[in-house]
Amino acid sequence: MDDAELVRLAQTGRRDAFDAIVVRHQYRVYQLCYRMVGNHEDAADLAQDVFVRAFRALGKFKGESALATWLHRIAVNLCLNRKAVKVPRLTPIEEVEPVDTKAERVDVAMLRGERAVEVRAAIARLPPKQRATLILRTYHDLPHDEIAKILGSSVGATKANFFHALANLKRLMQSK
Amino acid sequence: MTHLHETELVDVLDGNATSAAVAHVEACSACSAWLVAMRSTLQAIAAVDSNDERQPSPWFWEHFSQRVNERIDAPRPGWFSWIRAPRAAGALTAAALVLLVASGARTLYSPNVAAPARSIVIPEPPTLNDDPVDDADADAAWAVVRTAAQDFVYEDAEAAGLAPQAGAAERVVREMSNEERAELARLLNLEIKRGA
Repeated sequence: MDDAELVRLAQTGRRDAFDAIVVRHQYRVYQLCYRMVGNHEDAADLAQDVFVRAFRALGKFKGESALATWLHRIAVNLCLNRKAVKVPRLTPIEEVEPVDTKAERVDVAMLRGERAVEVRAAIARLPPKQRATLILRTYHDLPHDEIAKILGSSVGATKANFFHALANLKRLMQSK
Repeated sequence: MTHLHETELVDVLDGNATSAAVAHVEACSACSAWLVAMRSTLQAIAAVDSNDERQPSPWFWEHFSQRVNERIDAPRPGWFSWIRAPRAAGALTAAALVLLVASGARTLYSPNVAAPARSIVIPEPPTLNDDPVDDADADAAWAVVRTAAQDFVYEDAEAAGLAPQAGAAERVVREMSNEERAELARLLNLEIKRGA
């Protein structure tokens, strides 16, 4: 059953149809929230909020955009309205999950982990719309016109945001 | 040489550029260097995400839908339940004071005299001991505010030139002590008698 049919059934009050929507989209919504806010606790809370908001606004959803686009829009707005983004910290060595030494050297894995924290910290420092544009384009592989719909911007503004996000990110990563 | 516009550079990065833009990049060292730097940055970003091992457990996903439903089915607070919160009561107290002063200030100006253009801004209060009122209904200051606000007309305040900044009243009231609230009640009583 496609999204349009699930939405139609959910709009008639079928909770099982809405549950199917949640199961189908929960992972991508959570991933978006996690990339926007940088920690699991807030991402989990926000992701649940997304679907609660979607449930309450389902009657207003006309199907003019894809359901995923609509959910992404709710998620981005909720994340942008979150007051602070927690900058990821370096994980103490005792909390790092064991690495399979046959697959990768421990020192390489540690360096990779530190680099990941630095990149995420740099992304967290971007202005909100630049951060959202970068995440949606780079991690969710969405085209600029869809990102524009999600953010309520023009395609040109979205591309400009992406340009400046990359430039700022490069500068932030080089300053480390 | 005129360089590519930022949106054109993004198009080249995405592989959606015109042949003219592609030709320019091949001929322009500055635009070419930018593209190399941006591709390197994108690779660094992508590498972080693809190696992210911090994923929620399967248990999280099994119960996600259930938690969403619990939040949907949880009783929602009523429209006016926020008023009973002590801080909200205090915020409304300060907002009412600001607006009542403004509506009283309107009587100081004759119809031919323009109201002052600048807005009245409540200054940041000093940090004081905060003894929150446990029961808003039992608070005498809140009772006065409630009475005073019954006949309040927002348009009168706006016409008097008052445009309180968003959150200003809340900021002030958050720091009010019981003594300050009592003083607020006294001032409001004065205004009510003056306007009667």
